[in-house]
Amino acid sequence: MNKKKWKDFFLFALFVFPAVAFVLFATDVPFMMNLYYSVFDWNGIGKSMTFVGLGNFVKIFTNDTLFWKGVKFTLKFAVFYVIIVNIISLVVALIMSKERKSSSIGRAFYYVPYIISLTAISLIWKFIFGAGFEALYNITGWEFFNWSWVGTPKLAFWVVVIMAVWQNVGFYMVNYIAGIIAVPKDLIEAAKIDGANNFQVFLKITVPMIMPAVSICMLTALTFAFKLFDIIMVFTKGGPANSTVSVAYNIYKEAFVNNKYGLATAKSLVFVFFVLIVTAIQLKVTKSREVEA
Amino acid sequence: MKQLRKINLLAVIVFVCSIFWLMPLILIFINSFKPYNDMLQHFLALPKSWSLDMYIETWTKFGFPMLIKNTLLYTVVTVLAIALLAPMAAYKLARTKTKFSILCFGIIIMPMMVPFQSYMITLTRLVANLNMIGTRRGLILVNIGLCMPLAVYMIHGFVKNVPIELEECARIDGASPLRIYFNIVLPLLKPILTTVVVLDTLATWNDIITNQLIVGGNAKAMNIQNALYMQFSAQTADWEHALPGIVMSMIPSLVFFVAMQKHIVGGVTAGAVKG
Amino acid sequence: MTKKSIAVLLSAAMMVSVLAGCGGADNSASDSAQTQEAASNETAEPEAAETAEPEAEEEAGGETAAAGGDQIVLKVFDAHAYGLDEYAEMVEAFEKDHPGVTIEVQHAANDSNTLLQSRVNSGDIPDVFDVESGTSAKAYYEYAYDWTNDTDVTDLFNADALETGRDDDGKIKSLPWTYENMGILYNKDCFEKAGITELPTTMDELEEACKKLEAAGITAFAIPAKETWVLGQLATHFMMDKSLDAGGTADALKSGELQFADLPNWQNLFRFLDLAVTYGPDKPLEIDWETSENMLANGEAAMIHMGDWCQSTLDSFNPDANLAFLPCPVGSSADDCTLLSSCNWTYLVNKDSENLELAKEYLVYILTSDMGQYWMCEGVGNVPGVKTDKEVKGALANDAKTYIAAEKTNGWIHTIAPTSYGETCGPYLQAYMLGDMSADEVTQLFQEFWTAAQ
Repeated sequence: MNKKKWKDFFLFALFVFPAVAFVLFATDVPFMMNLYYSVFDWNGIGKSMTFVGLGNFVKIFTNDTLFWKGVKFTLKFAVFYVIIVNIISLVVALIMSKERKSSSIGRAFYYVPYIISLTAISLIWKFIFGAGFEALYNITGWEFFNWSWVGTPKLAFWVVVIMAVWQNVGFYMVNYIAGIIAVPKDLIEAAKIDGANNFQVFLKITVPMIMPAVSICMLTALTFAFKLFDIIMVFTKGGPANSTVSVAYNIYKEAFVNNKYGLATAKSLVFVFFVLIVTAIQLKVTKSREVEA
Repeated sequence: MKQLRKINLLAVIVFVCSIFWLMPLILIFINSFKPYNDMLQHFLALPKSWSLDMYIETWTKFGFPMLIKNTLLYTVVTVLAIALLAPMAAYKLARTKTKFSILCFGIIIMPMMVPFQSYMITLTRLVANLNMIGTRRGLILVNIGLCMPLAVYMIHGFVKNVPIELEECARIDGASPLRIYFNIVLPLLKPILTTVVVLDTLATWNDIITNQLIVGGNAKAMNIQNALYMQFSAQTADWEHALPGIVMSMIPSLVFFVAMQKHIVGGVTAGAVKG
Repeated sequence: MTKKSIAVLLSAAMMVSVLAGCGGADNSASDSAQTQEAASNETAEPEAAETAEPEAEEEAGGETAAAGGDQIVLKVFDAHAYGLDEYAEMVEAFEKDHPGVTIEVQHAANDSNTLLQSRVNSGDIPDVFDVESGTSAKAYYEYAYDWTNDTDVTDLFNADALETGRDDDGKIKSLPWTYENMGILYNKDCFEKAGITELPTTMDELEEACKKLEAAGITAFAIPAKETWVLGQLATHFMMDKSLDAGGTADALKSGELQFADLPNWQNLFRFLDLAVTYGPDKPLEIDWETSENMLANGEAAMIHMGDWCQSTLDSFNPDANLAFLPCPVGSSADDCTLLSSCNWTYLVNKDSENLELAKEYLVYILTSDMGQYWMCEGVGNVPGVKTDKEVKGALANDAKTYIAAEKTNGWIHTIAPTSYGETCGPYLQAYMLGDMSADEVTQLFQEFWTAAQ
């Protein structure tokens, strides 16, 4: 019996350990190493550090308005992003999952943002909201296109949401398509014969069947939203007037611009703890749905 | 009948919207032929000439053959490693229901919640301690580690839906675990694996930050995006070279994506698990 | 089929060699890679096309960090993205004179701080590197070679330029690059068209000029208000106490000796920003440095706030643009308007460098030799910190020279301000421009930021 146990463990190790080793090396271990700095006051450059105990954490919770502004922004962003991106990509996936040539081309379109490098993305968006909107305003005369999208805090929030959705729809779409195509055709046929309309079919058959895809998409969307960084970094730079500072961006600035590395580390620790709780709740919710299905 | 028309209308909207996704590609392309000033002044207009001079200049100035070779090497090795290791781990983790297995899964997906910016300094330090700063090897190992969490997570979700009966039949027939995995399970994972491969290929191909951190100034090991990005500062931007460079770097990924497109669809249909 | 299996074999072999480098923990991985060979037909299928690139794989095994034999690699970190062609020429000439030496330059112009910081942290400190002088540079001085006793080198530089590289104990820890000047840049043709014959020197005259420009159908201001660092720089004009110059003003502000609310010209900053909004583009906060400079060069806007470092960009927009400096009006007296001038970038040599002598030689070479001066004067177009008779290419730099000669310049405050001054205070000014914050609130926040750092 013992021998079998060893054999099982060996197999498990063979399958799982290489992946674990890579992840440990590239992320988990560096992250843990980082925690050490959270109790120090350190500028991230010099050789000397001052031990401050929980001082950094105290500072975060008592005297750091920008961080909490960032938390608020990130949460608000997460809510809108997760909902919007999932609805759009599900709708697109429903239409694009039909077997026809146009679908395959259409699908490719939604994947374009993954092909464009980050360097070009800021350029493109600057002009879409600039010259592009101006041209549309001249054609349509809609005041909507004449708003200062990038230059007003309220609208800049939506700029970030729109860009993020635009960038990632393709990913969720592919996931949903995989789920939708896996729905057995005969089940749908049977339901239709029983007199169900398209919407009922969607609600009663497709939705339960694609719950695994939904839970993958929800979690990846949530983690993306919480880690939001690239768009801010290359495009809004947190502006105007700090209205689009995300938590990850705030941490980055704290470490590399304000030169408060210890404080930045403490922030990332607080943040990760918080994210873990949210994702745990989210996992529980979608898991329970999956079981029902 | 009415229902049908409604859906078609929606379909039309979705297709029209997809142009919104495609347009940036077109804009990048037409602007890659413009001088800097024209780009800023008339972003939406067609270029005055379609001269390839800047393309040729960019190709030679940046040493594109070398850059392409590097980028290709990083992408191929990273994606191969992911395609090999991620499904193995995901499969075993989904099938093993022990505390240790859950712990391993947690270790693997934890990085999905952690912003990269919060540990990149210590990552660089770790790589330096292993004497792999400025090397291709170091970069590849890091890339694999960074791509792994999402890959494992996605495949893990998919494995849960693969019926276990097939494996059990094979086991009764006396097939070894490795055989079962490679001959029975892996083919079933093809659709999700294709998605993962496409995703990681594009991500690695377009990577900037890891390349900057790990490879640094070693010109021999730079990838395309890093070399192009070096031309930018807070106060200068060399779009005249960057845009042709970006277009050239996009061609392979575009070709790759179009080629894989078929597989995503085909794979999904073939792999559709019949309940 | 054979082609495919070769590809698979190659890739498996490559994997093994790569994984082997990872150390003991990965033995199981390479095992599995071998057992994989037969079966990987399945997995490798999608990538087979790409795997068939034999030359890419040869590289994987053969590479090691570049140090081998008599080859010496000097690692250089350079935070500029202009004058790159001239820089490359300069490096080539150095390598030619020093057989066996390779100069490995990382031009990390964007996020240069981030990259330098992570390199320093990982122990991969470049032998020669540059940072912004003042507060940023001081963080790196503990790694820097002390030039104080190398008088044969330091004598080559202008005394005021050298000052920017001193640490708190007065030791010379870094060497200056070029002078950079900032103020308002204006388009002479626009001013002419609007009938402005005398340059405005007071706030009232500035407003008058804006009105004339508007009447002539020209956007008076295109301040790049999207860039927080520009707003931060702009604000320093209104802090400056001429009798104390930059260093004295910054110290007095930090210690609280000078209060923002009491600064004689401070309120005019808000008047200035009001003008920039009223006589500016429709969407003022969308203007980034690129758009701002483009509008100026094409005569669409008459004034921006910027420095002569943007010369090459302006030239590429419109080589015939007729541009010049306008010392920034800050109050009601013409004596108060100055250009701000300083050697912003400063070069350090890593004192623990394995090739210290070579690193020193290289730095002296790029900052003082003919080739180096060619890079700075021609490639970058600025006045070098080293004493020189060379003609400088940049029109703006030459224009600034006249103001320097007339002593109508002050030093830079924003580089010696508390860390992250622009990043922190710039957004407050944006909020003012948006109408989200009052002048008093902004003043209060500036005050808090400056004194908190003490």
